[in-house]
Amino acid sequence: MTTHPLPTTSSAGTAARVPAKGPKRSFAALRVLGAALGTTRGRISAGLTLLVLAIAFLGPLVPGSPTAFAAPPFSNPSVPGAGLLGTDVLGQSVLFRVLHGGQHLMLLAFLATVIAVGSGAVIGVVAAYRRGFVENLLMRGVDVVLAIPQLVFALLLLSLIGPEWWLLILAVGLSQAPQTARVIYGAAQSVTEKDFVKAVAVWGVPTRSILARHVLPNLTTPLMVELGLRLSYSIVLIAGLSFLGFGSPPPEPDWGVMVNENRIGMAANPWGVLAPALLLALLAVGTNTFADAIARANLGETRGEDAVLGAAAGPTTEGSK
Amino acid sequence: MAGIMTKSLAAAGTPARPRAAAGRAAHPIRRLLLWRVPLGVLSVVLVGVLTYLATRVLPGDAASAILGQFATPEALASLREELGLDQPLVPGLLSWFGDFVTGQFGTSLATRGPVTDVVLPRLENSAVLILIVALVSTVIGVVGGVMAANRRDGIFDSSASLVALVASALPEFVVGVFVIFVFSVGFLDWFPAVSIIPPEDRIWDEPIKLVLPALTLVIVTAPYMFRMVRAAMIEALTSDYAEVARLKGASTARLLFRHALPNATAPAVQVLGLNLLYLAGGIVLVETVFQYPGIGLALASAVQTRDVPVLQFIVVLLAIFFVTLNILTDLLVLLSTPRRRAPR
Amino acid sequence: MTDRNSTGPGNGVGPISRRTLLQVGGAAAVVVGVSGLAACTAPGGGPAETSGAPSGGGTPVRGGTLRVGATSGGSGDTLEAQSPLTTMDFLRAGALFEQLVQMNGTTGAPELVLAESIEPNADATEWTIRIKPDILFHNGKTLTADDVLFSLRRIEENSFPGLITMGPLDLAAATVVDPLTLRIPFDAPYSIFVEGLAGVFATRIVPQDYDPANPVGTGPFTFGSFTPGQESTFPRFDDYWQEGLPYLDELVIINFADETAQLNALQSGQVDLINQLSSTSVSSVEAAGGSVVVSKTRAFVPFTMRVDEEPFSDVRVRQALRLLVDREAFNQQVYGGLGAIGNDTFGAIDPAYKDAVPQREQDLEQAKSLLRSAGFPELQVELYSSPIGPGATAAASVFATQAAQAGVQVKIRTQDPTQFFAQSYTQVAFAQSFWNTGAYLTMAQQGMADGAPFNEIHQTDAGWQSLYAEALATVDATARDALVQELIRFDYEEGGYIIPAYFPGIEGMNSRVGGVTENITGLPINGSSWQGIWLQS
Repeated sequence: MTTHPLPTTSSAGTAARVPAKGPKRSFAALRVLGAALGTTRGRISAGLTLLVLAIAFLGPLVPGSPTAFAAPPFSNPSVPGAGLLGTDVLGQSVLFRVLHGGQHLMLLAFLATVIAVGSGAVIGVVAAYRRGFVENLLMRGVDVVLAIPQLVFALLLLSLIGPEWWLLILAVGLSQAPQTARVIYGAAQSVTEKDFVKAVAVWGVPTRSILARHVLPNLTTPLMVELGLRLSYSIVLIAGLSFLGFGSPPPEPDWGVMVNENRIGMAANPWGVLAPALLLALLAVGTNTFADAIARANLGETRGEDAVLGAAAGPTTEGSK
Repeated sequence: MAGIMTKSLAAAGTPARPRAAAGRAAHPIRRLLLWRVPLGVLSVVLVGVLTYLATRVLPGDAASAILGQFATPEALASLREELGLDQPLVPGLLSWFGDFVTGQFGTSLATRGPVTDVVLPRLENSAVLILIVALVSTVIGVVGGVMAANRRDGIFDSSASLVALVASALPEFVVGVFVIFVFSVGFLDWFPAVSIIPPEDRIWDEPIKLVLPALTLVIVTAPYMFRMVRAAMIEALTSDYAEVARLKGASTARLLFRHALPNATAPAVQVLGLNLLYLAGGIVLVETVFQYPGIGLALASAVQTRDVPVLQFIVVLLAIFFVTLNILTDLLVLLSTPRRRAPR
Repeated sequence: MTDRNSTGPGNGVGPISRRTLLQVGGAAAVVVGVSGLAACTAPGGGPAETSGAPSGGGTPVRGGTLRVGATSGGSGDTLEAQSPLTTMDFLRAGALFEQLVQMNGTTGAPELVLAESIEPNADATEWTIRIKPDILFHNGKTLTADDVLFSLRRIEENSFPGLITMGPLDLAAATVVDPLTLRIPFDAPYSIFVEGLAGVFATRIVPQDYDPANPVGTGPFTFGSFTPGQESTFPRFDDYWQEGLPYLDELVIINFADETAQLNALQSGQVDLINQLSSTSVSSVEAAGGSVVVSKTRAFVPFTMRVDEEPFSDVRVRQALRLLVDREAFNQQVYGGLGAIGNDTFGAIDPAYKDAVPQREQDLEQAKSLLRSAGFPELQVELYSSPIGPGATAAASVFATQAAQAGVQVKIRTQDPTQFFAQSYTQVAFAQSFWNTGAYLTMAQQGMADGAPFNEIHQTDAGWQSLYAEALATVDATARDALVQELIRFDYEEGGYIIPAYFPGIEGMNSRVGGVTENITGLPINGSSWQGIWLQS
């Protein structure tokens, strides 16, 4: 039960290239990002993501009310007063609701991503470094959790406590943590086996600082890829839960909620659905593709694709243990 | 993950001939089963217990769900008694567990009929949808992946890769809404936008109602298969082994189908497993969009009516499906990847 | 992969669910007046358009299977005659069963159905019910006074919701005078028995050997099949007592989870008729070549303020919140202008309602000054909202937006209907509710009188209670109307309800459907009476 070729063992490649006491993690992160931005794919996807981010975060600064009555419900843009994108189910301006409706979703997605990657990375790194009992406990625990249909529990929890924002990010974040844990575990194994890590351990450096200063910096690329992918999935998940009715409470606008509540007027004013749906699609594609670009730029074409697909494949448990 | 495996094959220079190594050792397989089966059982039990606990703390029970605004204390008390909701926590859990193990799945609190009557017809509908989607997306993914890998960076490869990249990131409800808009209410009027059928019918009695839900799910699942197969094929085609075969004058077709395609088997099986897993859970949103009479809608309705026996049954069925499929996938991957079967 | 998986199943809460748990006790009787039969026009708040031209035009035709797509049902669907809970339950019950009296679809006044007369004694302590002769049940037996007594007792034994509006009757002492006559003594004067019986709950009549598993009634259709949460079928009852009716050969009622699905099904011809639509669907139905019948109901989704809880225990706060509402804009936004303006009290169909109080208008300055004097210059309230009735979610949203104009911050907490009714309804300080069309006294009996089961606002004012008791003991209609006016005035000044608007009943159908008329009761399809509906071939 030793080596254990997990999907992203390939990211060990990076570890080899980054010297042990190399640049600080933040620089490493910048370098990884920079490499991605050096590619066409990276630039386009970053552009898309930034565009949607700009709409979400600068949109609320545009003067105009997302809740005021503009024109009769589902007026199309040709109706006077309906605005550029017409009106929604309550006769509110779709344009202003779209401009105001992304910020909340985005913040929730960021927080959920931080929870997912943060907790997943801790589990993965600790399991890889500790070995033995702790490793088994953590990774078998991950296996067990992965066999639970998370959607059902997200729903049960949300029904139980109500559509609270903190619950939403916890549910979305924690449901993805196991996948991240597997990926980081796989990548960390090859790092923790390196001589320099073993050496500092012998010098008596405390575990926590070994992990923080020597192991994690060497996992920059897989971590960045994970961040991108989990962000993309978090956006999709949160939008889906909003669509199902767990979004921000009315009268606040919310892209996922908009898609659902305006579906009924799709024939009269399709923008009520198309505008938020397009933005969600752009955002999901942008973040996902950027993660892809990070992986390709830093790991090479083939390994990058492997890493991305492998991360998505996280839940399949590895067999030969 | 698949890519890595194929890579290790390529590095070892072993031709990918699944059968070649058969019988050499059952070790890893036995080890897999020894580990995974008990863990799987543990997972399922855990799921059952968690669901039971969650439903117990869920605000409102079946009686209050049924009575709604008319839930006066007296009406609630008498209905609770009638439904047997007055059981304490631990005995309730134990008796549920005992009944479940002995195949007694209980009575729906909402319909007062057997749970299986409520769930099984829905299960059949969902299973049909899932199988069709899995089949179609596998065919599209594999054919597309092989074609793309054959002319790497050609027009087909570039455009298909781009489409796959975009499609795989799209939220499924967004795809569903677009699909309805295009094929049902917006531009074309080809297919029904809702998949409601009479209760005595099954979805295969009206296959036209399968089209849009299936299309939506194919759009979401096929890209993954495509990308995996393409990556595995490219890797195999650029390996030393393929180089040697090419030098020996193997034809393109032979190279593709005889040498490279077997290398794509393991990843394809794995993606198929993953897609099935995704479908088992992820159809909920799509069933909601299309009102498809499947297990996802049944689950949602069970949550709403606090129909605990139905809820429990569906969730545990899903968990069993998850666990079995996981083990099966890994087993198949192991079987189709010779080197890893060997004991180390 | 489980990434995508974790997307929760549908319907936790929210739009898809729409278990529009209709019918509070609300749907109660109507026009006050002892005989209750005096035709009565012009309910308050604007005339209900008279029953209007039936849809579909032309003359009725016999035959055909009508497929109806409806929302609000679920796997908890029931065929129970006397305890229907959702709008869909009412639709099914209306096919199988009939009442002694029902509300007139235009005025809301009681209208005799199975009963030939219902008369009180001089002080309304005893009522005599005479039923029409030769009415057959689906099983071939003739309806008798014994069946009526059995039905009323069944309601009492099971504490079905209709019990409350039947008043303080003493069924144990009731006597069957002859096969068609039943005499019931009351423990106290009860002048509104007819109105109470006309309520949708009270008196669906079943035979003495009633078996809920194989329901038998006197209604125009018989029991065919029933799959909760999915579909039910009702073949024509050939021996129906109303000659020549019903027109249809069969009625099929199909469950839908949401309005989008309903609309799509109508457009693609999967169903002929859909109900409880929102105003925004009118154009979609018409664009698809269908027609729409819009009923001005007097049913509503109010905001309920507990008068015994902070901050609403201060009457100035209640008045201020009522003054925040721009009712015209509210009606436009939530009901597309198809509803009618409300005035914060019960009884919109009562003769007494008209001219009792002036229409309340939005007055933000007055509202702000009331809040300042009450010590809440920057009021924040939490509103518990749930999709329990037409436009409920939108109503909460619009109310919050309008309140914000006066600096009142309304935080909306959304709950699924089950959680809402289990935890919040009648409990929390500020919530939503649902009431069907009804007369003041019967609604008050359910919502405000001592021991009322739906006391959402927790009103216990002693003056109000004694006025109310006096009204129940007053047999003379004019005198009683005067008392009702006083009660309405009290509610208008001090009550805990905000009723911005009455919701419209909107039904959409294809061009083959005929006989659908406007109906004031808030129950879809002509107050859930199916015999007059036909289908052109």
